[in-house]
Amino acid sequence: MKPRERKDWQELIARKKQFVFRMVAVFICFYFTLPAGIILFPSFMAHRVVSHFTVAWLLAFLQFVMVWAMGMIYYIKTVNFYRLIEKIVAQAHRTRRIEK
Amino acid sequence: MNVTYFLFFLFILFGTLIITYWAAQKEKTTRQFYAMSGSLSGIQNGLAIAGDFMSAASFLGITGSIALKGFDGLIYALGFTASFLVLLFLVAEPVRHIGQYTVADVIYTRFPCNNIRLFVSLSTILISILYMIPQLVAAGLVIQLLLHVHYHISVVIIGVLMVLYVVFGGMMAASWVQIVKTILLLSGVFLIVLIILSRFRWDFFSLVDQVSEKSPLAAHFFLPGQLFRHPLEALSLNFTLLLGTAGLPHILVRFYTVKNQLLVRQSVISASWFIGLFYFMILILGFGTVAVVGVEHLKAIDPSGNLAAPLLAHALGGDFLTAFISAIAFATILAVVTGLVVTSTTSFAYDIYNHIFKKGDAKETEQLRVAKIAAIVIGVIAIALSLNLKQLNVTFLVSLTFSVAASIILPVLVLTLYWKRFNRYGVFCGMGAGMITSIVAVIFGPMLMSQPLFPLKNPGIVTIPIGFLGAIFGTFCFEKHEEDIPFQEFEILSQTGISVKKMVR
Repeated sequence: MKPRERKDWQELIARKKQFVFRMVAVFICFYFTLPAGIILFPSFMAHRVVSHFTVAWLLAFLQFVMVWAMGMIYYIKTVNFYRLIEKIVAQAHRTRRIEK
Repeated sequence: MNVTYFLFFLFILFGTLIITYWAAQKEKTTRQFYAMSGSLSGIQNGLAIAGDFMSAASFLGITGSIALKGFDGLIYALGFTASFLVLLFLVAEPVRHIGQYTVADVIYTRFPCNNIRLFVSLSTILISILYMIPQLVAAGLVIQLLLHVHYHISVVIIGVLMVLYVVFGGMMAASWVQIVKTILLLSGVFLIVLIILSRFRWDFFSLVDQVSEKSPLAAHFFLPGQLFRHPLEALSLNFTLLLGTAGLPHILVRFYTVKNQLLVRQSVISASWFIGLFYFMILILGFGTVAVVGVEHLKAIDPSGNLAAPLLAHALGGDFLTAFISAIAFATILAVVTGLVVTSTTSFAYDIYNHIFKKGDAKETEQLRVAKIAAIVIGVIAIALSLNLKQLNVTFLVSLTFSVAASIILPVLVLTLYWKRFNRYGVFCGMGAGMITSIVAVIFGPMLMSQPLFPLKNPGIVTIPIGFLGAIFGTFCFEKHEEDIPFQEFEILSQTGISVKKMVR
């Protein structure tokens, strides 16, 4: 059976894409919270949090944290994904050998 | 001429030439020349990718922007850092799985058509040259200011060096020069941060209070709206930086300099840490410039603020530290332009010469010879343009580069990788629409016209959606070509790295 007809491949890729698109949606929403907040809620964004730093600064700093955290989450998740791929490939090779 | 400055510049010059000599001994095949046989580790490649982002604009420009404009100067840093997630989630692994040496490989694999390869390759060369010019102009001005060497001679020196590195060392020299420069830059900036904090008895908030007291903007320093009068301009810049950097060909080819997808992920993640930490330190440098150098002094010497970092170094450590930091700035520019030359050279030799002229049958030696000639020609074009554009404010070229990369390469790349219905006509329409609107928006925009017809300096918020819409329009207007690869097969390869042909063999 060709890989594109195999259900396990299709499911695995669909799961990965779903995960990636969710991560992209979360990060884009968070990224644009800062410019959108500055346009829509300027006085709230100018509210001081610590010393001279405002809510806008806090969001800016959190963006760095977000990049590092989401990068790590993605890394850990995809390690499992590639492990599953290796498993499926090995299984496919085994099946082919038996068929031959 | 200041002897300390001269010695540091010589040190960088000899260091990079030694790296090139070493690379030249190892570089014998096209695979080594184009992608150094994928021999970098994840961390090394992460340093090289971070180095590509840490251009002169990042190091000199953002420090000055923060010192002069406060919060708004940070937007560049946020955009560059966040763009790593676009790279990581959507682009990095598929590009590594599908391509061999260039971005055109990726799109060509799904739509096997020479015109597409040619179009993508020419866009790669155009983007690289457009990005090279502001770097060369900045390099010329820095060397002129610090070493009192004439602008034209400075540009020619840098231009000749970048060509030499590529001709003799290819991607290996470009990568190692970049890695060494990133380490030097991170250490130099870290050193300055330590000196600044020690001046304020390791009390960060005391530095912040000084900034508020000494900046002409006073408390407004910490509020948005100083650099961009219109919030839409800031939003457009955010948009362009986020997507533009993920479409820059010299960043995308870095996914071929490691062995596998695991190292690609390690590269991008480590690069995001390096670049994030770098920008944190740049923020402190910007604060330090206000508190130690003073904005009036900075403006008197350089109204654009680009000399903030060297001036701060001078105030903190005299000639020695200034020479060190200026030499690092020199190395930064040198490394970035070398990366750009090798990317455009590879694209010409591999995509245009080997695949289009020679139908994929060019010999190794032939390809290497063409690559070296291409490096010289591209270098000469970039030098000639830089010499003639000194009088012009070349920042519009940076804007144009990002806009073009985000509006041409990224839409087509993302749709190729993820949209089932996408076809080759969509590629042409998307790239054409992105290219035309980017050029028109910049030419008729505030960067080049006193009475602009288009209001935004960074047109990305308009041109990127037009790039996507053009691609979608082309796809709906024309039928799929029979030679296009079935999407499911392509998707398995792009997402897993496993070739369907291999699996069914």
